[in-house]
Amino acid sequence: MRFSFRIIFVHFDFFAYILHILDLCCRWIFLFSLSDRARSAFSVPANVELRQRELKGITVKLIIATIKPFKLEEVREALTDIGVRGMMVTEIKGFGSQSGHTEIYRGAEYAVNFVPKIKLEIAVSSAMADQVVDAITKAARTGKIGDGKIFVLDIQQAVRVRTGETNDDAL
Amino acid sequence: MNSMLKYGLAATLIALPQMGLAQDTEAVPNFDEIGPYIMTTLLFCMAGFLVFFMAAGFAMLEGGLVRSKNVTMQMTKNIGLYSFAAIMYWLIGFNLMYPGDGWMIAGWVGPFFSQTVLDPVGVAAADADLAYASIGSDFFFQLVFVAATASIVSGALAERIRLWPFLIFVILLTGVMYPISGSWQWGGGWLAEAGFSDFAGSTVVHSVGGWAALAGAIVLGPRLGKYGKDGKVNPIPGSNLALATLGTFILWLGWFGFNGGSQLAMGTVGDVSDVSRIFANTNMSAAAGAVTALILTQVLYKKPDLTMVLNGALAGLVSITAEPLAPTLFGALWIGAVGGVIVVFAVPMLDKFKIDDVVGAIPVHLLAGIWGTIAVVFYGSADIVTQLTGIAAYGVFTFIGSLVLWFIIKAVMGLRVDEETEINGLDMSEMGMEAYPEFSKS
Repeated sequence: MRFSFRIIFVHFDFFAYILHILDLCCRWIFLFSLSDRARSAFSVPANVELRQRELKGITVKLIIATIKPFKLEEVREALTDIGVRGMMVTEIKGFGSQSGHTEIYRGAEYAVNFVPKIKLEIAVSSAMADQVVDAITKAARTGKIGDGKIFVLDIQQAVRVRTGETNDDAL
Repeated sequence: MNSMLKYGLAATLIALPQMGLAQDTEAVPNFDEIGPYIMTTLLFCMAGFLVFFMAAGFAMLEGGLVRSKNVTMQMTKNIGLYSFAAIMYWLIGFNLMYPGDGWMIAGWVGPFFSQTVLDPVGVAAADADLAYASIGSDFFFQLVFVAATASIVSGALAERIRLWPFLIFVILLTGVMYPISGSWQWGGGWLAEAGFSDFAGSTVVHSVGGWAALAGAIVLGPRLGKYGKDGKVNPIPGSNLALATLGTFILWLGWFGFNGGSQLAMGTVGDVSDVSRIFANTNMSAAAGAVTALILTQVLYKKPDLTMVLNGALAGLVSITAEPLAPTLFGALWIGAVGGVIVVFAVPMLDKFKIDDVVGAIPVHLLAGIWGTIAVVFYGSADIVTQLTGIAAYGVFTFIGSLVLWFIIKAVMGLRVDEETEINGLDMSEMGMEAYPEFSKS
């Protein structure tokens, strides 16, 4: 009984997944066939909907996350899936609780004190901040030491250079 | 023996026109007479090109193993040393090393300031050295060897020595010291008469470079930060291991000319087969050295160390250089493998003595060179006492001579860049240009 139920569930899930993929493909194909201007016009409704969920005057948050370099692609996918539309990426070195490790070069042991990491800086509307933190945490986690840190900061002001729009509208 | 044959042949050829009948306007020597000359000259030219390309190999190996802030300087030293060596070898070196009958001190020192003169344009067969090869090909082939010796020194002293003091040492090494010691063996001097055996120069070329490098590294001192106060060794990884690997492969290629050309003859079935035999043995020894270093570093350090594998291949090549002809392929394999072992253990050992050798030139060229010279005993005709005598003679002469030279240069003009220059990199301070201006520095 339970077994068959599970099969059904899996099937359901599978079809939903396929549909989702097809849907995404169609959107991408459609969007890429448009000019820049038309494309941004197309994504306006989603933005408006997001913005309506917030109270007026609420600040923008800056999320700084350090992650393992090999997780960058997964994190990027997870974030674009929930509607994040921009991020800054920097290759950095640093140490945390993982600290360093030792290597051997030409017979002499040496300490690697700084471990390579990727730093993400993402400005999002406050309402989305928790969701973004969640998505990064899920995508970047390996369960091993050195998975990274996430910091959430308030942004005083955000401006879009092209239009002069501020704060939420600038994102 | 050779010169008797040579003069005999020349006399015969000069006499030929007179002996010919009236209708023979010219005596055209048949191929049996001129063939060996042509083939050996060809061997010297081709082998010379290959050994010349080793200069590129050394440059790439060193460029890859120094930090990016010192690459322009290292490249400048490499092209500078090659070019100075080429000029010095014409001006003094070649005739000093191959005095023929013109010894100044018989068996020990040849004539000074006797410049090399080539065969005349379109030399007639009667005037050519038909028992050997053209002077131009011989001169060029020997010239590229001396450049290899100087390249060995530049790698060991990288990242801290100033340009001109280094080049002045190179001028004296390639113009005077290497030709004098080389004449003892290859010029038919006292070591050759004693029965010392060094086919292509494990000792004459590589150990000599290694001794000069060792003396230089001692006088110059280690790079800043290489050795901590408590005796800790701080590795300074190189900037580009792809270049270092390319350099090693180029050296490996060049070595076929280095050893193969040292057969010094290609005019008979025996000679040309020997050249191919040398190629096969040389290749085997290099492969064995590389594999040994690969396995040893994996076992000792849990991860293989590429720079050691590269050094291992070169150590295999240096090891087989003293006798690349006589060993079987298996002989070449184990001789090269021992070279690989020497490198893996000698590199950390030098660090214990705080002798900072940036590219591993001393383990590769000096120690494997000594090993290769000893290994002649197993397959060649030399005996161990003569081999050790030769090794010691070259060691004492080159090491002490270099030590004196380095001290004099240090006293007169100084050797090292100052601390700030060394930390900022020699490229900007000494050269005013960077090798990779668009990349970030580490």
